[in-house]
Amino acid sequence: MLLAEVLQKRFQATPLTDGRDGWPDFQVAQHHLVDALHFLHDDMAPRFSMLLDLTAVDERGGQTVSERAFTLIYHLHGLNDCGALRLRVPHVDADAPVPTVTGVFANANWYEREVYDLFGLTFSGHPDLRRILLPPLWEGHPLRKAEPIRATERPAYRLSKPELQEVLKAYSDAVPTPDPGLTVLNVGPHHPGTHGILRFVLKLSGEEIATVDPDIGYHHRGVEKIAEGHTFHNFIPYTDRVDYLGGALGEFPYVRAIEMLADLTVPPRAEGIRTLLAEICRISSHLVWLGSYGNDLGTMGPAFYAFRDRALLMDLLEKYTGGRLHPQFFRIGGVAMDLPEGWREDLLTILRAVERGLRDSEHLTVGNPIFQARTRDIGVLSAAQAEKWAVSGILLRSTGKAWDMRKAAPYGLYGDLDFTVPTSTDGDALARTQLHIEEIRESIGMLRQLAEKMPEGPTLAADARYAFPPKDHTLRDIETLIHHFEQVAGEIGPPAGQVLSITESARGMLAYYVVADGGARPYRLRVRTPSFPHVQLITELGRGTALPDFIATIGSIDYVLADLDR
Amino acid sequence: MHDFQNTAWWAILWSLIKIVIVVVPLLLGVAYLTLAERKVIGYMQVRLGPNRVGFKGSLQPIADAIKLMFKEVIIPTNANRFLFLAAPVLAFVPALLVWAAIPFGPGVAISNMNAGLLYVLAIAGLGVYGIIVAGWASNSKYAFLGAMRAAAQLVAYEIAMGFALVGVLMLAQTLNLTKIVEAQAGGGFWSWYWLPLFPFFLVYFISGIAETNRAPFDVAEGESEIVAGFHVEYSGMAFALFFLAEYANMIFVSLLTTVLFLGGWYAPINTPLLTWIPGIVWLLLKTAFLLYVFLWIRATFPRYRYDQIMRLGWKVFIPVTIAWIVVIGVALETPLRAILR
Repeated sequence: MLLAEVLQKRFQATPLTDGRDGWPDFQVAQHHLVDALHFLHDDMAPRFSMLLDLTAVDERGGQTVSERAFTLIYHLHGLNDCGALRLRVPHVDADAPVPTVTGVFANANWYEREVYDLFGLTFSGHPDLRRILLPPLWEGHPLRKAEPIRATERPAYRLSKPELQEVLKAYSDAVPTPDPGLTVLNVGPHHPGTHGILRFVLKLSGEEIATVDPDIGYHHRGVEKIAEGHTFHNFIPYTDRVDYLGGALGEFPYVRAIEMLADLTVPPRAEGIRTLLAEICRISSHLVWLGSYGNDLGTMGPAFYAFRDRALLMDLLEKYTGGRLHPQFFRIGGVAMDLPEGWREDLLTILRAVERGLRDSEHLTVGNPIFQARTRDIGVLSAAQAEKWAVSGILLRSTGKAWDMRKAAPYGLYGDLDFTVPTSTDGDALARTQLHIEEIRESIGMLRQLAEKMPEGPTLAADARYAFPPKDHTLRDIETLIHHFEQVAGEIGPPAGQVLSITESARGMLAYYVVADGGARPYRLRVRTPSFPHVQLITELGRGTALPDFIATIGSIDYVLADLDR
Repeated sequence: MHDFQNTAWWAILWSLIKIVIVVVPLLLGVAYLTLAERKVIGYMQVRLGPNRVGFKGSLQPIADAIKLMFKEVIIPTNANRFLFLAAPVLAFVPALLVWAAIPFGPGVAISNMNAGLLYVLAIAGLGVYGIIVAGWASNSKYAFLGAMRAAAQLVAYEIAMGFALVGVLMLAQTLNLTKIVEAQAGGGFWSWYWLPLFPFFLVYFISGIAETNRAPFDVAEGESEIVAGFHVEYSGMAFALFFLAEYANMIFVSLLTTVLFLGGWYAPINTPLLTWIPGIVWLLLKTAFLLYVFLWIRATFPRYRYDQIMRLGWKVFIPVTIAWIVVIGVALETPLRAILR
């Protein structure tokens, strides 16, 4: 293997074998890291153009005493058939700095800030190393193994008066801005245009934006830490809520990751049901976006049409799974139960209504001349920028690259479905609106195909050791009963190993990186969400625009704050 | 009694009575316009609108008024106290003043003045001072941005609006609003000024939407961009005055468009079947239709960006109106004069 040879020869990389996802996996020493990344990014053919994810693992919590304190994990992706690559970099001394890779990958900026924030590792040469998710006064670094998982295990947090003054200073007009002539404008934390609690600190020259500094983390719930305190099965409901508009789309990469770890084969019907739920959730997420984007631009109509149709889809989800926004229906090895009777007819009826309603929303948005005037050539993203900031999803497809994980590396039942990946070369907000609408149409087409050729058979994998045991079997067979008991009691987990599972959520590439140590809980679970790099992109995309265009731009990015802050 | 009617006291009293007769229905109209807006837009947006207070929500405006009256008027610490409180008054007073010249029937107005059109144009332009002063006095960045936008927008639209009125003036040869309506009498629908002055009719109505800061020209408020713009810091009655002014202006613009372009109180077809209906009914019906158009537009269109509004004003409306003034001017020197006048 050419890649392995070069990495081993030039950078003394050692291939690792405990990955269960089949990606090339190497350990690289810290002093070789930047050079190796440079090589992979610039000289390798085909190139690894994208830093998919950068995170760390605290190695001091395992049963075996490790010789190192942390491992840094670099996931690269080429957005081509070669797929992903993992580099693991051991870091012995927790207080020593790690070399920054922002010189190779611009989007490493926020990822390194996140590692600094959550693990307390510093990066030498980083342009702007400060906390990103947690408030500046937070003490400690939560993803270190020494930190307790439950908030109640920490002393209650008190903000003293001087500390409060210090925090409030960031919002005060009394503090002179370092750049004379520029007005500081806080868009957020509470602003109708930010879709939730998110603060953009803008420096305005007139109404033109000179710099953008997103202040994120208001929605940080620490799902990665929470995962370490739950059994593998118990964590499934959280995955729905990482991107709360995505629902089942968030469950997909997680259960796939665990199934890869446990080497489970999921029955076709279960895959079909998963694909069905995922596409329903995708339509409903896109509808919410379409409605709220209209609202950003000052037209209320599409919001109501879109939410009317989304309510129908939620009724459908409720009928199938019991959950409306969050199905929580996936199980490791399959799905919770079979679809109810009459699911096909309900689906087809509702799809017709959604299709009809979509035409109204389309006329009110992309068909409206003022909407066109507000979005054409606004928030234009070039292919080069998309690569620089590790952009995926509709944002990437609006720059002309037909990259969709459902097509590139089919999972679920996507391989059997006939669909196209809509793209555009305009890269502007109008193109992104168009693409959302086209993707809804594609999803409707996929659902119709699923209604036609949903496979028959069981909905859970037969191997009940790691898969969730079917309840009716537990009543008949002692083996399954034991496994059921062990799983529910939280005494069993997949074999040790690690895995990266990438899927296409409504917003882009959603990946779960799971490290299992053989115990009943994940040793480390990392959620790579698309919103994080996309909001980072705003620092560049928002510059030089006027305030109304800024709102039109950030709206078209289609981020979800819970997806951003996790 | 006869003597009393000749005294100055009676003149003042009679004026006051006329003012009450106009202002009380106007304020009620404003109140129920807000309800109509919520109902109409609700209907267009697949929802119900208010339906809890009174019969089918009919008391909702009253409830809103009571709520606003009892809310605290919060004055920001760093605001200019005097101007902050003066601004809503500055916005509200012109919105009422313009009604002095509006004719509700032949010669039926608080003041049937000869320079009515000029007066209306002058007073209507004053309302924006309230907005600018509010934005400045609030000492808030969002409010200030809103105020600047309002000022820029006004300059772009007053001119086109003025030119549109020049066309009416050229055809009617008078500034008296009653006489302008009377000049449109005769052939019903086809003799109203909207036909020969069609570009002016459109420009005037669209400028009217812009001047009242209504969607799609509500950039001074720009809810999703600058939160609420110039009135972001206002609450209670201070806010309510801005609100009243905006809706009173909407009714005013619709009514004036009716008077100038849609034949005021005349029936659309000159037949006894329609002409027996009192003129005021026609006047109000036409106004109500235009108000509906206001709401319809709001339910349909996204908001323009403020520089796009400026471009529309300067680069489209002003050239179009100037060109049409020339056309009308030339036409009046040809045999077409007989048809036009």
